[in-house]
Amino acid sequence: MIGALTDWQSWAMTTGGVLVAIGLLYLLRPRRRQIQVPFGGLWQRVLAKAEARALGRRWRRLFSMLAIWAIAGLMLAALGEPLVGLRGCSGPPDLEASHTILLIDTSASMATLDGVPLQVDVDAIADQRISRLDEARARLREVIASARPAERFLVVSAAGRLHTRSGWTSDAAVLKHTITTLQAGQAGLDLRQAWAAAQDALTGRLRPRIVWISDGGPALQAAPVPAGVEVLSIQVGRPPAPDRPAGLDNLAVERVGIRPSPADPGRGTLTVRIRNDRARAVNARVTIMATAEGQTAADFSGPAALKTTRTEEIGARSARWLQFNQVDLSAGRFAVRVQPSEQAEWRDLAGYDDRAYAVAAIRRPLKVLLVSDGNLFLEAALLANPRLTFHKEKPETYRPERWAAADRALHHVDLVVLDRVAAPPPPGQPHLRFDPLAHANTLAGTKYVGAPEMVIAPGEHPLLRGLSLQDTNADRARILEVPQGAEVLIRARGNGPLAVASSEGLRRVVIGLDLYDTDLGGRLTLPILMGNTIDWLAGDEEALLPPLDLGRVWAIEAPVRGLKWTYRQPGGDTTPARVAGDQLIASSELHGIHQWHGSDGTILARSTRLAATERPGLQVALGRPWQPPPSVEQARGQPASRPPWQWLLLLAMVALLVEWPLYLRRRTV
Amino acid sequence: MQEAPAKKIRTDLFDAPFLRRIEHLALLARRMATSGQRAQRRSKKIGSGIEFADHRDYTPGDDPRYLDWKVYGRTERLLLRQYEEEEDLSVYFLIDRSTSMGMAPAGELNLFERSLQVTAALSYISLSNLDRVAVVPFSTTVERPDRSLRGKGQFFRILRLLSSLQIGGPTNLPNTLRDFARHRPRRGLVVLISDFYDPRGLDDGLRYLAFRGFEVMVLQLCDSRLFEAGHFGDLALVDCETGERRELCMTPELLVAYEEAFIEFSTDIANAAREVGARHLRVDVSTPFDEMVMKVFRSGGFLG
Repeated sequence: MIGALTDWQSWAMTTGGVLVAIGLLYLLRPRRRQIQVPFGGLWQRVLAKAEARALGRRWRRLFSMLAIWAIAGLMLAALGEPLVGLRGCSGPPDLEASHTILLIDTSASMATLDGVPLQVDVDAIADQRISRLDEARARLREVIASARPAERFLVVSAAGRLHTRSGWTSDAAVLKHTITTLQAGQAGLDLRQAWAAAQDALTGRLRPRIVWISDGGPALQAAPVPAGVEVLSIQVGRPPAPDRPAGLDNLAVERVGIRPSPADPGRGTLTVRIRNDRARAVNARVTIMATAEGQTAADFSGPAALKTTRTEEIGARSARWLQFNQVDLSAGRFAVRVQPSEQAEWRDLAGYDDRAYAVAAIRRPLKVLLVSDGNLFLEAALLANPRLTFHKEKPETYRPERWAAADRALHHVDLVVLDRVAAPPPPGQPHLRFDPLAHANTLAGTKYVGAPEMVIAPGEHPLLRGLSLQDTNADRARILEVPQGAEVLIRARGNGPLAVASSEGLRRVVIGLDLYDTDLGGRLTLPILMGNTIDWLAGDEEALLPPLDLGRVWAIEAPVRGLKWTYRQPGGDTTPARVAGDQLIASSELHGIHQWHGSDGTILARSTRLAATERPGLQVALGRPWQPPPSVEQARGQPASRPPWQWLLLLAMVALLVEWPLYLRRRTV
Repeated sequence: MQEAPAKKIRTDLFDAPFLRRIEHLALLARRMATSGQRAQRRSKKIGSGIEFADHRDYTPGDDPRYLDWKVYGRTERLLLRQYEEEEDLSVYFLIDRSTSMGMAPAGELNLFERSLQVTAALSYISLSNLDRVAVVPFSTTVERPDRSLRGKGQFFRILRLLSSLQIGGPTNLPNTLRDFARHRPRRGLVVLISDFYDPRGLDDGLRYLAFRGFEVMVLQLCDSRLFEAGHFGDLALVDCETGERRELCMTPELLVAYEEAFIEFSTDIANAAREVGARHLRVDVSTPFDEMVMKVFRSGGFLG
């Protein structure tokens, strides 16, 4: 193997080649042609006259000889350069087997239209706007073009999941075709998973190498570089120019939230967080669409789906919450889209984050047991909630064990409200207790305070949504004890907690107020507090079903036993659903609303969301930057240093041009 | 040694058109001549002719009939009147047959063959003028010439003689001309046809001839075609007579220098001829034959 030759062996080979060349040149040296002349004496006379110019002629012949040697030497070196290489210029060809994984980021941000066009692809891109993935494709072609002779490639794309796009191959045509088929997904990048998979694929391979092509990502810094693997990176995307502020022409929907109206649960407030990545403030047009069965962007595009549109200014490189009130929640599925305003003269370069989807939670009917001597305020608040049916029972007849879990088939309630009752709640039942007696509950307080100033505790507990105690008065209130793990909701200024929620084991809420000792019952606060509390106790505190992370594996709780489920992803076919235990398992990189159909007609729908890290901003690349070889730069049409053999041939041509007139003097024209 | 006359005449040199051309040239020459049928070329010999040549002092024993009494009456000096002796002119064609005369481009007449044709033409003209003609080939030394021939009837004998000549040997002009002068007591016109490629030069030989009273015409033949082909580069030049080898790098400049050297060489020959009162004529072999013959005829003293 030439690559294994030592220095002195290389020099010996070179010296041997030169000696052979000298021998050949000696054998092939120009021989004088004999010309018979009638009178040599005349030529002798001519030569005697020309003797004055002999010195110049001798120099010319010497120069000619040197030129011939130079030509021969340069030609020899040029021919041998690819074989033995020239010290300091280029090495001999690398014939040792090697394995390279072309690990390509196909996450959503790769669709951003700020790719740097290479010269070879300019003609193919009509409007000169190419995506980062387009740039990655061009750079990959360069990598393949500069492959070593015995180098084999494996094309792997990485987004939320990892996809092996080809087998190990050195066939450039196959590789280029594979690269052409790459598409940017809609999921975020899971680099750690990709890195681990690449390391597995390279285990036991000779000279492992990873060429990582990406626009970067926050996870890059934390990704461990596989040991023993050469890592080269190619960063795509246009970095910010020094002469202009950093920023990207992009608007994105970051989050969507829904808060049902306490007074009218069929309507609610929809909140949207819009991010502006530009370096200057922009007017963003936000469109809210809703359907009952939509899954894809196309399903939400009709005029029937359009709910409202609003244009708002978003500050430079900042995010802003926008609130849409009185949104009809009956459709259940929402899509939010943000665009530059119609008057905008710029174009959103990253379209993948312009939409967000949301699915409103379906409120199930609840059955409530009210244990009270009679409290009209409480009953009115329960009656105001249309999803509730309640059963009243007097404290005298109340038997907690009757409502125990064993009897729930006969006496089923979802939660219990205890009003000034000393008896304990049914075992295993979430409950709300007003004015607990001291001996009845561990949360019960030991003392009353008169005319407390009620203050809502800081925090974002679901019970406190929309709650206001301003101008609410109480003659007295019971100070509660706070066990470990409980959270204070309302506090009497300077005295202690008045309302406590605990989720240790069962969910339970204790409020140290007698509704007859306060004007709370006559205010709107009570039904809001009751609604929040009942939702929380029933586990339905979220108005939106939590979205699914694109590219990850999802496990959705569902009543799977005894039912057959099918799965349908946005715009896709219906397939049998994967079931594990009492959960439905799925994974997808399609952004939209995914749904599962149960054999009993049940439909579960969940929206997806982009990974929070999938932003279009560029990050620092991993490993050593990949540098295109000179031949590749030349193919781009950029000035590049020529390979040594070309320089040698060029010098040989120059020497030949010098030698040619001298040669003509010595040879017959 | 002179070759025996050939039985046949070389038809490649002396064919019927050639003979018609020299007949035509002879007619032209006759028109140009001023004298009559015989001895149309006067010799320089002082004798018993009728043309006054000069006076000289009377010495006892001279024929008193030739005393110029008119001069004696005026000057009282005894001067003897001298007259040019009219006699047949002997024309000797000394033809160089050395190897250098045989060089020519392929398919072309060489200097030797051209010299044979010129000799044939001039011989015919001379024979037509009733002069005596002798052909003397030479190379290293001169062969003893045959007797001179006279009359047009001898023309074909001359052609056969010319046809029999072969090329060979190096040139030795001094030796050749000295031998010729020693073997030829009868004075006359010597037409020396050669390329004169002899490192020994021509001076000594011409002095021999002049000393012996020969009138000499030096006809230098040259062939400019030999280097028109343009042999350039590293060459080894071999002298065709001596075999001497000279290595050089032929360049256009060197060729120009060669031409200059040749002109200088020719000038040396012309000077040598002038020194002894001989005529010199340099003719390129590419010159048309008729023009060459008439040029030689005019400048060679054939018209007297």
